[in-house]
Amino acid sequence: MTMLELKDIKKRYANTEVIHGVNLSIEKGQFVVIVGPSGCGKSTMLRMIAGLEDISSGNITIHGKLVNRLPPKSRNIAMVFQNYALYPHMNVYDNMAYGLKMRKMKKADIKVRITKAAEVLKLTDLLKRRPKDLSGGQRQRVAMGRAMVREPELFLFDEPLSNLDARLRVDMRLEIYKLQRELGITSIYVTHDQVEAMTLADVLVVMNHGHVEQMGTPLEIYNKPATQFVASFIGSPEMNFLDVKVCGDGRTIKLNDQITLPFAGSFLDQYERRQIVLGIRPEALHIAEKNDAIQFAMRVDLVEALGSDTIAYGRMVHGDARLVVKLSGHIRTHVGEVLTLSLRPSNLHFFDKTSGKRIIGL
Amino acid sequence: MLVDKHPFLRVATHVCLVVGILFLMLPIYFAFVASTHSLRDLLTAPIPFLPGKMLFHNYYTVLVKGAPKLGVNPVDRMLLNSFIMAMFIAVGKIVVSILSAFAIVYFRFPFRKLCFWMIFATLMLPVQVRIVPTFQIAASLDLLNTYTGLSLPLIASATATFLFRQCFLTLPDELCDAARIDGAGPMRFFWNVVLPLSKINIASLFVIMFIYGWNQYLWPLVATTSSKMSTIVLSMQKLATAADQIPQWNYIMAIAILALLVPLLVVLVMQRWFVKGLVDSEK
Repeated sequence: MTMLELKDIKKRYANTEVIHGVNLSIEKGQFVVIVGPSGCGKSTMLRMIAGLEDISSGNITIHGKLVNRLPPKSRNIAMVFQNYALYPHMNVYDNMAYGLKMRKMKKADIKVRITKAAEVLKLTDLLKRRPKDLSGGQRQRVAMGRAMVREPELFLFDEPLSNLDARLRVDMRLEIYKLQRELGITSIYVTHDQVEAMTLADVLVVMNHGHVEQMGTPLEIYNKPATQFVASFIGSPEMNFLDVKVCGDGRTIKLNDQITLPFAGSFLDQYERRQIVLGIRPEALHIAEKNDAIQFAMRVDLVEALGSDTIAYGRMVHGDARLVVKLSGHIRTHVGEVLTLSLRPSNLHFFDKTSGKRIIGL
Repeated sequence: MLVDKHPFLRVATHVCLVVGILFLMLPIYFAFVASTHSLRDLLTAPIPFLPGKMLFHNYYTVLVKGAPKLGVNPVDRMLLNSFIMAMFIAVGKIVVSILSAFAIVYFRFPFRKLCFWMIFATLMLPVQVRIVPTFQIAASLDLLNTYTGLSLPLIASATATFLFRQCFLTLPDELCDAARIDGAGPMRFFWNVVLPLSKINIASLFVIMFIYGWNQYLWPLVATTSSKMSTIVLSMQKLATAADQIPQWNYIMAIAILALLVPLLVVLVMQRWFVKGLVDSEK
């Protein structure tokens, strides 16, 4: 059942359009994550869904009901902000109760809801404290609690974890995930952190420059990025991109004069004799074994040994193209070493050089 | 904060402070000394440096008994007038400016910038500049010799509006968003969120504006004719410039000290709030 639907949403500030016609449809209970670099319009999208920002054109419907003109309070949504936005002069209890009081709920009912939410979020002992006496993680939980007690149809999260330190972020990420599954409340979560995006999302929406670049499950997006931007944005370290030339009736691509990659099919025939972009994930490259058909050499410039992985940055010996390789942690290398690498053709991505779109094929 | 570990530095800072305090307190001390002597003692050299024996007499005279022959009326009424005027001005300024700052910061309306600059422009029009038209308006509205007439023309305040604007701008925008999602309308948001968070600013502004109102001289001089509506500052001036007699310095100084006491009390009372606000900072 479609819960929230966005149809051709546009947003203009004076004369600049920042959102260029976004279409999105969200099912009940889904956890949707909108991810993109800063300034891509993801927060604006969220604020438009919340009703905090007017939409310039298009329609937003919740349960089939048009809400374009409804104020935030009538949309039955709750929002968690990046800086928590707790009322500094109210204690935890009053912070959570405020929205309910505004809705003229009975005091006894408010108490029941807050007690319940406080238990779930382990806030019971903190109810009398003011926000300034809480740690970042606790404040985050209060903000969650404030949203939860409202029992909304839709949760909106605006980069809720970016003010927390790395460890706490991981904990809170898990908590948010569990909580959303338990409550089953449809959620939209905006972030620029791809790990959050990959781990939380049922549906991942990648945005760039006010466009939706791709929508799908996190693995779909990782495995079949629709555009070069998506390919570079999802995955860490970033995907390697090489300009290559197609030849041999679309069966072969030339990395440079020395290296060619042959393929079984001729799916690239419409690009015959043209340049395309080849994408190789750093984790798709491996140290070549004797009988690997494709082999090429890379000289290492920089090594990041992370323990679990070894990431080597360097240049191809022939052709000078930059490469990043993610190798297993037990492989040691050093600056200046020449590594012989190989790859499996099935792990390659191809993009149109001008449009940046994925070339359907493999 | 500078750490003053060096003993010489410590002594030096204290010497500076003590000298500064003496410098500021000396005139007040002399005013007090003068208010405790008879006029005769004051007019004969040398000027007394220590308090005299007339303290009770002088204060009783200016506050309760008066000295009709010397033109000294009891100033209790004037103290009250000054207090009411200063109160009206301080409270009025805060109410008007906090609301206008709220409008300017949180609402997008046509000519918002213009409104802002118009408020700004009033900085260039203090009472002294607009005294004639203001008097005309007050007179034609029958506001002379009323508390309204005394305080209303002084209430609009660009400075206070700016101060509140600055204060509101430091509040995170998300607070407003959160309140909107929680279902609070603009005035609820103002009452439940903005106002409690501006408490400290309100307290400090109240002190400043109360003293500003208390010290008003020119406007009350113009806007009042009846001695019943006179303020304490005016009564001092009247006594000092009374014709055909030696100024009654002992009484004048007693009134001056009385005129000092009320603002001092306000500062002392509000300071406790002030410090509490600073210690218990919520932002």
